[in-house]
Amino acid sequence: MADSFEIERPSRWDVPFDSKMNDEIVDSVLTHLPFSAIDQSAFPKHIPFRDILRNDTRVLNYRSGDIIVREGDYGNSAFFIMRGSIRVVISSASEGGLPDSMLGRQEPHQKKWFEAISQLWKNSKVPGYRARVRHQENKQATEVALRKEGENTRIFLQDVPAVLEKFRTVEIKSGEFFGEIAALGRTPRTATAIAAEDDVQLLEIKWQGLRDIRLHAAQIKDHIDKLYRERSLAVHLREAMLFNHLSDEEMAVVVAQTQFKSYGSFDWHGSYKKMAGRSSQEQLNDEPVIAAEGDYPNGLVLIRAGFARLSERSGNGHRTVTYFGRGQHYGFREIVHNWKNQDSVPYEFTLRGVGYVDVLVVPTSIIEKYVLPKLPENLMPWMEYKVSKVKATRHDSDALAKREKERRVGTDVLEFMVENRVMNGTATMLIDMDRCTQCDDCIRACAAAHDDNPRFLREGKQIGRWMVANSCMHCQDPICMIGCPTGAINRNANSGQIVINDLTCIGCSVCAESCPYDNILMETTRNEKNEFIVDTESQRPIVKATKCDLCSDQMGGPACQRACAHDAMVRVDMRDYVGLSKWMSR
Amino acid sequence: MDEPMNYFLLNRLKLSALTALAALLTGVFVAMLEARLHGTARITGCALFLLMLALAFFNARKKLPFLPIGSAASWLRFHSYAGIYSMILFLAHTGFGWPTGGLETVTYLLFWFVALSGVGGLMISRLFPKRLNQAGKPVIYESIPELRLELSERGKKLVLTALEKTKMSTLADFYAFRLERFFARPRNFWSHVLGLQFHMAKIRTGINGVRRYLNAEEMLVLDELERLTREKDDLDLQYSLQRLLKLWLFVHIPLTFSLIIFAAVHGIIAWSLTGA
Repeated sequence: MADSFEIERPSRWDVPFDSKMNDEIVDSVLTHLPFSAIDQSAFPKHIPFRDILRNDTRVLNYRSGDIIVREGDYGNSAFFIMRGSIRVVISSASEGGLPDSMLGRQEPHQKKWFEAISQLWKNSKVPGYRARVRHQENKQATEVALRKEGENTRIFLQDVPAVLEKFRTVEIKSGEFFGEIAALGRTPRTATAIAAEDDVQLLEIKWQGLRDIRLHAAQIKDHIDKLYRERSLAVHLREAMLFNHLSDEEMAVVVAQTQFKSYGSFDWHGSYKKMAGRSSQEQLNDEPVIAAEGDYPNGLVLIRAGFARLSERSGNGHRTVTYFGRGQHYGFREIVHNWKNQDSVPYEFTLRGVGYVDVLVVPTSIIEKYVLPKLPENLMPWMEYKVSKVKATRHDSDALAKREKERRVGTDVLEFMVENRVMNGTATMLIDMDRCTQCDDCIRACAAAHDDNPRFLREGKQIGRWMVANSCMHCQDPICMIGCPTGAINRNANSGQIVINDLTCIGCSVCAESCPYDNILMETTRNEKNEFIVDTESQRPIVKATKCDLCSDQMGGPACQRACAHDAMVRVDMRDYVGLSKWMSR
Repeated sequence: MDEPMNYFLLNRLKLSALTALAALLTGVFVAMLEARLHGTARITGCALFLLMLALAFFNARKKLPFLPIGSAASWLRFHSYAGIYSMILFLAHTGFGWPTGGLETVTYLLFWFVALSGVGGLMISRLFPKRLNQAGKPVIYESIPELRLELSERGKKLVLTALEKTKMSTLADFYAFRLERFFARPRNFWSHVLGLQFHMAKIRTGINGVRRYLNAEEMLVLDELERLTREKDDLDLQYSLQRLLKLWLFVHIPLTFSLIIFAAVHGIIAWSLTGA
């Protein structure tokens, strides 16, 4: 028998959110309402409330002007104000809210003709060249600065009174939660929050802890659910268009009856990496079922965040039919059919959560009572459920072949995309290897547009003739943005690109480690003399996260795609299934 | 339901028809001028020279990938079909005849070298990627020497281990005489380019020939060696095809610039001799 080495089984709280959390701090948290009112006996023995506070929360102190969360950031935590007050900027960027420069982000800048052409002689030949590496060196941006608070880096506004005077803000005082919707729903933060006083103390709660508190403490759940129903639910429902025709009163009933559920792991990049190498069947079995094929359609499922896979039974396995992302829904055709006809049909397919998915379920009875009677006729016919036809041909090989042909993206490609979470990309670099001559013009073009430092690798996972190259996909669900301490990595509000502000990137590599696709690299910086730029104190090189920015500052968009003379490469939005299948079946 | 026509095929048909139409119109135009006893050399020569400059600008486009001046794919389409048209124009210019002077002969030959290298380059650009893709995992050209060395080292290690274990030099001798050269550097370049397999049949014959002198343990090592030869052959295929895909441009582009210079000199001389 092989020798063994015994260790204690790894457990959830091996690494607490903050090692400084101790019983004394937990006791002080428990003096605040609503925590003091929580019935601790309602929590399971293996997840005691005190342990949640000790391991899934941390106490943070802020000074006046410190930015706590930025509009557009992806967060994995919510905040509870223990002391002091904060101000939330309610006028958004589009309404003249805080500009990107104030949030430590790079102002979008597009090169003009001469500036673009001058890259021919201005581009540095030094790998990792940076003209500037610190925000403070950027003379144009003086509204925001970085400072250290213990081990954390804080980004703060230089002139708080001017900001408060110029922008519409609301005050949130101690005893209130904020940021809980973004934390639970994996949606971008809807507003920027700034510390309004010099002594603000917040309790930051990781989403896992918040989820458990919400699950076992009814008053917290009610409070958060109430906030969500009040602030966001109607907006999310109207995104599906099926609810557009409802009056405010009818919408209020629908909102009140809608259930919200989450499936899978919020920080799925870890489990995704572990899953690599496992069989398709094992991966599928791990995906939580949201609606099962053959079950009675008891509700319309709307995807609020994350992804879901739609599959049908095939032999002893499941064949992926398509994938769903934010804003898409499932179950409507079945509900319509059952409402219009005497016979009752079940869900035609199985809907499973891929990674993490957040759904809204509107009960069938509510759909039948409020949505269907007034649904515009033009929406009805194409939604009608043709169960008899589909079921009759399900196992007919000719029919299957026909469906496969119509689908144009082959099943194997579809399975590959879902298994490898490629469908997360909004600008995935897809290369047709049957046309790629490996001339590297794409790499050269990328280098020419980025100071001679290409931002991607022409290699990656491949299915048949299609290669998904190692280039930032500008994900719909950008896990890389979670945890960036300075907000240097952010999504451009207008174009949707994920970009990194080189000047506020502190080289912590949180984004690179979080990226499930290994598409962010940490680059050692050098000056124009090809010398490494090193930290004065530690003498260690300054590193910066670097990745594809879709040539956001160039006039013509992604240089790589336009440089491909053989029509072999495309940057494709995986949500645009029609465009994707057209490109693949050229 | 009828199949929608393939995008590339549709493009090819459209552009071929356009090129054929342009060629026809050129033919009619030249015939009309000649029927009226007008010389056509000057006008076709000027048009040809301008067209060659436009074709050569494709290379400049590659150096400016950041400018919104059309995709390289559109440029290549123009380059290909305008290139074909330039051959027709060239025939019209030369009157389908062989040139007389030295400068004209060089220019004439340069034109056809450029044109045919372009056609050849386009053909291999369309045919080779599929073959490379079918040959297995894509290999980065620059990493091929390293991968080849790794295979060679693995082969050597295998036979040395077998020598130590069996104390018989049969495998080591076979490796030294038959396989070491094969692993040492890229081999069978033209066989791979032309898609021939004779070289592998030869290696397999050698491997099968040595089997009769091996025991069971050595046989396993030989099987592994045979697998390595297949891997090396795949690598040679990658090397050969990728090398040709890169090299043809080193012929096409310098010849293009030479052609432009020679054509310009030819034009100046012809212009000065015939008068403005």
